[in-house]
Amino acid sequence: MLSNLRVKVYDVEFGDCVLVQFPDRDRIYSILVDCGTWSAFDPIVKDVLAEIENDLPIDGDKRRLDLLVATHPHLDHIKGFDYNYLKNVKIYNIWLSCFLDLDHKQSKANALAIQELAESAARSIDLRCVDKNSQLEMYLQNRISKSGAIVMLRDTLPQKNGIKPLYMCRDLADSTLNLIDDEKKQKYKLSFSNKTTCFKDFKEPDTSIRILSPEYNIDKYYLGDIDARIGNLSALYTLDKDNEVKINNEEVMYRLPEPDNISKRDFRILCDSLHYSALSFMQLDDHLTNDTSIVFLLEWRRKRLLFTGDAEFHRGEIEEEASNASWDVIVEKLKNEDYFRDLDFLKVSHHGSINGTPFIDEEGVTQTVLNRIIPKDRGAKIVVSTKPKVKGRNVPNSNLMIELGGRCSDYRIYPYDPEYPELEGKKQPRRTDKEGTIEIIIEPGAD
Amino acid sequence: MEESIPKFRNEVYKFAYLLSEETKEELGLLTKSVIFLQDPYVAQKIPSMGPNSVYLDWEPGFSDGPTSERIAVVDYDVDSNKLVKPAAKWDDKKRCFIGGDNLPIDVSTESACFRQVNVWAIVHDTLSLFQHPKVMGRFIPWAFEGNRIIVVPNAGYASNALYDRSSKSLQFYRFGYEPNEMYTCLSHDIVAHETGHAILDGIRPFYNEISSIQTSSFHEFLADITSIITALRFNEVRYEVVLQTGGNLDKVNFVGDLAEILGEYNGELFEGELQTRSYLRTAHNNLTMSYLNNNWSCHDCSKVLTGALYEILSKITRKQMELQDLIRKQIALKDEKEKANSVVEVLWEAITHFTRIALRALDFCPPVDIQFIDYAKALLRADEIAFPVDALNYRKIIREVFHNRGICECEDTGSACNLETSKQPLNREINWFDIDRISSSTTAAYHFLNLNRDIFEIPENQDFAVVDLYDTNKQVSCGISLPKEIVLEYIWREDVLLEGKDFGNYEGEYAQLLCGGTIVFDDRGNILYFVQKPGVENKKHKKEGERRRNNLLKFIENLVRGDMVGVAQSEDQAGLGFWRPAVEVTRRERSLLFEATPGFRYHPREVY
Repeated sequence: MLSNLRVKVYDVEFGDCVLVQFPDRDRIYSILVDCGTWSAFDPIVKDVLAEIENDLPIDGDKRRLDLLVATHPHLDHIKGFDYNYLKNVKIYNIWLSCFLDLDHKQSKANALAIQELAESAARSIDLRCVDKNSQLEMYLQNRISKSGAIVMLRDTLPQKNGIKPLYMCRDLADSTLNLIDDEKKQKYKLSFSNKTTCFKDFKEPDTSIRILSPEYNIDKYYLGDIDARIGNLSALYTLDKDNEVKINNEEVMYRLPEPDNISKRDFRILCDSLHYSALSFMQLDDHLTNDTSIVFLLEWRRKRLLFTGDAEFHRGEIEEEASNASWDVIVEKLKNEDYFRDLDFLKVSHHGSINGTPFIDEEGVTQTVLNRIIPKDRGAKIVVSTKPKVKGRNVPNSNLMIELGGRCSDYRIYPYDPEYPELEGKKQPRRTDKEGTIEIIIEPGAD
Repeated sequence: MEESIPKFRNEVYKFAYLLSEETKEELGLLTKSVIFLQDPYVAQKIPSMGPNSVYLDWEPGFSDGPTSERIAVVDYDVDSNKLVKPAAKWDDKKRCFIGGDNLPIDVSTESACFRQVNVWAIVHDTLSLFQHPKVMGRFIPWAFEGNRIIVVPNAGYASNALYDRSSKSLQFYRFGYEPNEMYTCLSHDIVAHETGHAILDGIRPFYNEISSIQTSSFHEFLADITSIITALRFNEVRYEVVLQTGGNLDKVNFVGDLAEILGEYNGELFEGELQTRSYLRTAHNNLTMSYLNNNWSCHDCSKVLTGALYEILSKITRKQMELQDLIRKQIALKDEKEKANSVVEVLWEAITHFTRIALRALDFCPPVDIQFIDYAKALLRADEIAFPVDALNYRKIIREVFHNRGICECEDTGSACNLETSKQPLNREINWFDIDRISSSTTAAYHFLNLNRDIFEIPENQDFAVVDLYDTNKQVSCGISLPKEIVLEYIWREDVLLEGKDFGNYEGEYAQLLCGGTIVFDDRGNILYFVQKPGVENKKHKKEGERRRNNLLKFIENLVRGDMVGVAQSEDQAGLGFWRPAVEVTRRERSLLFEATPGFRYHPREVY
């Protein structure tokens, strides 16, 4: 039986898969936060889930998983959520970002339209027989593939486990918004305190999970003036009588026309080189998806653990009705709250990319944030789940690694890496690409 | 213009290059089009900069699109997958393009046919300018395999436009949203700028290979100066500029400020948001070569040379006004319109001469790795050949400007330096000198160079290629022809080892240092100009070769550190638009070839 809290960050190459387990009086409470990968090698997640299953407590003829959190619907976070890999697991709660809620009360046209347009664009580009480079092909396929994983999370897994998913946001339990009634709050063990929705399905009274992000009002906080950024969005779709998004002219998207004044070959080569703003939709959708990641704080026996999904950081201040990043909104809303400080564990956001953690080189608001949540004398434990240089990206970011390495107690100095010569001899947080699956033990805090 | 078609027009066409504009008009060798002289944004402030009629060179074979000998407009929107049909049609009786519905083109920003004709006309006019006997006096090839560039006036949604060699295209996008949608194809600055890139790529295709920041910046300079030159050729534009400045081009004006629609849009709507490509630059600056220190932005660095040339134009104009005593006369004139008109003609003289100065120099430029000083020397030499007597002291003005901006690289901080060209080889030193044989083929040219390796400083053991050989037929005013120039370009490549961690994945590989030279002969075989780019194996100029090699290494290092380099996909797996890396690396002959892509001038915000 566990006596301490254990966090296992699995090596899924470029992705996230974290199992958190801790004693909760006479039971072990288990939370699975994401399970996905960009890798095309499916057995990665299958094998990891088999290992996870073994770690879960027995529950009748199955294994018990108390809570499954899919922070956001990107394939590197949800690819593993396939019923076939989880049929021996009994899941008691499933949390999804309110971004996925089809019954979202506010105007859903814009945010969901972007998702639909992105999906349509991906299908169109994929089917239009246009030559693609291998990176783009993988990206497009992943976009199309994640649709299946979303269906799993929304429908199949809840159905098979006799539950309904909960679309989570910071202000879900805020009674002034009237998003759920008291009966549901009781059923799901939710309350609203100190500006966050709190989940308290625990036997120990001091244990709780606080939802720090996203905000329910996605359009207001994360979308901004999208027409200005990607053109006349409303001209590209219509809403039918059931308020479902319908893409205009979708049926003509799949065949290339034939001009009269240049050859077919020249036209084919031309099409390959043109910029599809559909890709802008996909990029916009991707940012929006990241910024509406579920970010939650687990408090257990006076210890604080922060799980961040792929929350992004841009500039440290927010504007309503503008495109803001997740961290910016969190800091603005919660910067004075007692619990938003002195972490004991941080799962670094966005695989260690420069925009995943409030961090800039010079002194400023972001240094203040870092000093507050992971002060240098606190000795927090920090883990990055990553694989470098995927798709040519500069991930993880070296400067960020050095900064975080200087703030954690269990830093490592890894052997020389020619891809990152600037990290030679430097302290870094623990990285799955260097160590494989990482296990962190958190002991209870002093009384 | 009469609507009747001269029966002999097709026959007369072959002599069109010898005829004046008035004669061409009489013979029906011009076609009328309507274009934006600047762009819709400027036109809101200065209505005369909106749609205006212009007369362009006619060619046989104009057809729908528009399509002409060297240009094919394909109005395809990649987002909606829509090809606009019918496109603008050629009406041979009226000798102009009409709408796809057989009616005159609706001159409106919302009219697809108008956009098609607008963009075609500016590309056609810009190419015609470069090829004109009073400018470069020859047909300019495109850099790609083929002779017809594809122009896409409304390719999709982005605040961008670009030239792409690999797809043989000029692509123009739209941005903003209704009712303020903006089409980059309606901006004269932007269309002329991109056409300038395409033309320079045809004249000197090896400038697209990564060699130094100055070479990349030169591309931006030439594109910007093309915008300025082509705009100032219109009477209406010169008139408005004169109204704004009184003929003093040092004063800020809408021609010296480039691509206002993008600058305005970027300032209001993209602040702090997406990284966008900024066309907005100004030629009004006093930047010197020190601005290039640790500066790896080709847009930024180009401003030094653009500013220098613009200053030269301004001073030439001033000189003309002084000569015609206009300044004193202006004071006497009361009427603003009269004042302006008197200066407009002077500005025409100035821009005509300036165009020759700025563009003729291109034939005298090295085939590879151009530096600003190479262009400065080429410019002076080309002008010297065309105007041996510098009666108006223009070359003195030019030298002073280059000197004051540090382009001449001389130690003399006092008066202007000489900007001397290198000592030219003497004919009597050269072996096997029969210009007719040399210019008969690239292999014959090779024989000539091979027999004279020592003179032209080609290392003994080095194989090399003659990459271009052509002649020109230039004129000065009044149709007087200059002696024919024969231009010969040759190159070779040296391996450069990428040593050190700073080269990332490319450490231990070989990059290619492009070396070579340009020789310009007259038709009697006299060497008018010789410029060379040595390698490290060059005995006489080893130091210069090493300096060039170090420039190349530094540039590649910066590109790698900035994560701008990616492996090129094969021809069959082209990237999609802005997803291509800024610099593509191809493996060739077991070393790496670094080439700029359109993305070199545009870095979209990445998903991650």
